[in-house]
Amino acid sequence: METHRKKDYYSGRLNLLKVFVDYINYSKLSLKTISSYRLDFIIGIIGTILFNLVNFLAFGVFIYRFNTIAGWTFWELLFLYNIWLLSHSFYATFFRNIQNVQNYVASGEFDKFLLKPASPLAQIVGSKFYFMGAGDAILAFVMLLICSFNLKIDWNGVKFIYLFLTLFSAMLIEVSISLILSSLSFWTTKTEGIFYLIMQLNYSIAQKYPLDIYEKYIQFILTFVIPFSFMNFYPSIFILDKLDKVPFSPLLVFAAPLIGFVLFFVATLFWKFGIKNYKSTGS
Amino acid sequence: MEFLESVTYKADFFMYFFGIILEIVVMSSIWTVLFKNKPEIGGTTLKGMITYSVLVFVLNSLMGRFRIYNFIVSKIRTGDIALELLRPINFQLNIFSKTIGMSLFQLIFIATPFTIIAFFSFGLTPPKDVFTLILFIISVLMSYMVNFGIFYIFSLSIFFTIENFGIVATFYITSSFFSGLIIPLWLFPPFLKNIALFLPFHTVFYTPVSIYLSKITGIDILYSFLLQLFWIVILYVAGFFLWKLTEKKIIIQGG
Repeated sequence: METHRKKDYYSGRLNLLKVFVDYINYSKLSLKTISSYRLDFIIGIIGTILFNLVNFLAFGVFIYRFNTIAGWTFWELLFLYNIWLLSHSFYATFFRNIQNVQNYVASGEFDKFLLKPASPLAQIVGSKFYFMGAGDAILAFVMLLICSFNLKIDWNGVKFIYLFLTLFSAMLIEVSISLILSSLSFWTTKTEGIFYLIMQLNYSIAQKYPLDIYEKYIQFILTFVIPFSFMNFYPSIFILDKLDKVPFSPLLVFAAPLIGFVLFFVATLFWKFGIKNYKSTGS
Repeated sequence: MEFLESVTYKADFFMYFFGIILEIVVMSSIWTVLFKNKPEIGGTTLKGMITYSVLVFVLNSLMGRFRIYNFIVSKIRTGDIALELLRPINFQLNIFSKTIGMSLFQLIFIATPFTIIAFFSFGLTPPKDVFTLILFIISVLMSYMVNFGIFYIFSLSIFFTIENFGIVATFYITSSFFSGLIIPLWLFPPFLKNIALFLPFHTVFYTPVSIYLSKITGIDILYSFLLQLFWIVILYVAGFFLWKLTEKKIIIQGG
């Protein structure tokens, strides 16, 4: 049985259910660290919340001076920001260790994961949690409630299911892009710069401001090349009934709950071929 | 030494360069949208606002706030800070001179080429006259020292508290906000503006760039120079005593 399992992983096949079970086992270990650094944990969460509140303050100043940013009101901007933050908090808490793959590969530590009879991906993802992400989750959840109250959002069944799927899909978008970029480190050692560059696109451009304020080429990149705008922009367009503001095509709004799943499938292919390539080089 | 160290880390160079470009793209997009159909707001044109954002972000790369932090905190983490007691030179000045080395690298390889490119691609506003440019440079030199003082004290205080990235990030963004890095102080509501003027942060970015854009003129320039000097002295003295406390703690704990 044991040898059979090993064979599975070495063949580079990716059984998602097995990955998930391994992941749960590893996460139990990670959860234990929370109690050993309690003070650090609490301060970290407060810090994370304050950090975001300063960003809200900046929105406040813009709105105080200009009333709206391209027709987006204060609460709409906050909705856009926090829908991003909520899905990001899942990535930031549970999957952030994916970005260490490049370091593991560079230092040779990656071999350690290959030797164990569990999926390397589950080991890497499950071996380290970043609990400060909980601050993001708490804040984003509270802010979304406040926003939907202030914006008087009509939460019918369709919108609710849409939101639920979108949050999950948005998390997968970030996980997948991170995974694809990390997989590149199986081929080349110079991935740090490109990783930083693309994640920075997400934080600087997609997270804070609506896509329609940017020039067409930026809109194009964030929609069709690196689809971060499906994390918050297109979903907000749908939920806030702002279909008149959608660039390219209104159909994109309906792609938001699906695109994460498609992207994740592509990412697992990247990862699979990456590991295969890594092993075949014999390094 | 640090000059060379920066040259060694090519990735660092790339990240800084790209980081500034992204920040400027974001801010110029926002100003363009906000100034649509409005020739000027608060006495500034769209071109003036973009100039403001380009200059503050270039200055930000020169100041290297995280560099000062990383430099001091890595010494605390490894315990190398105890070795500083053996040196005959003042710790604060020692760190300061190293910071200058790193900033010179930034100035030559990032800030200068970037500003030149930005001048042609964005069509930035030039300073009113040479005299304004000189005043701007003087103000930048002083703001460099204020910034160093702020981050020296913040980083060294980690020695007495705990190292937590939540705190660091919050301090970084709070100082960014009140320094006028994101939005210039003249657009702040009066209440926030008063808070900002009370804190030292605004003398780091807002003061020099406002002088460049002639938003601060005449006798007010002298006043803001004095304010910068005031903060340099206060922060230096505070930093001096903080180091004395640190020394004491290192000796008691045996390093």
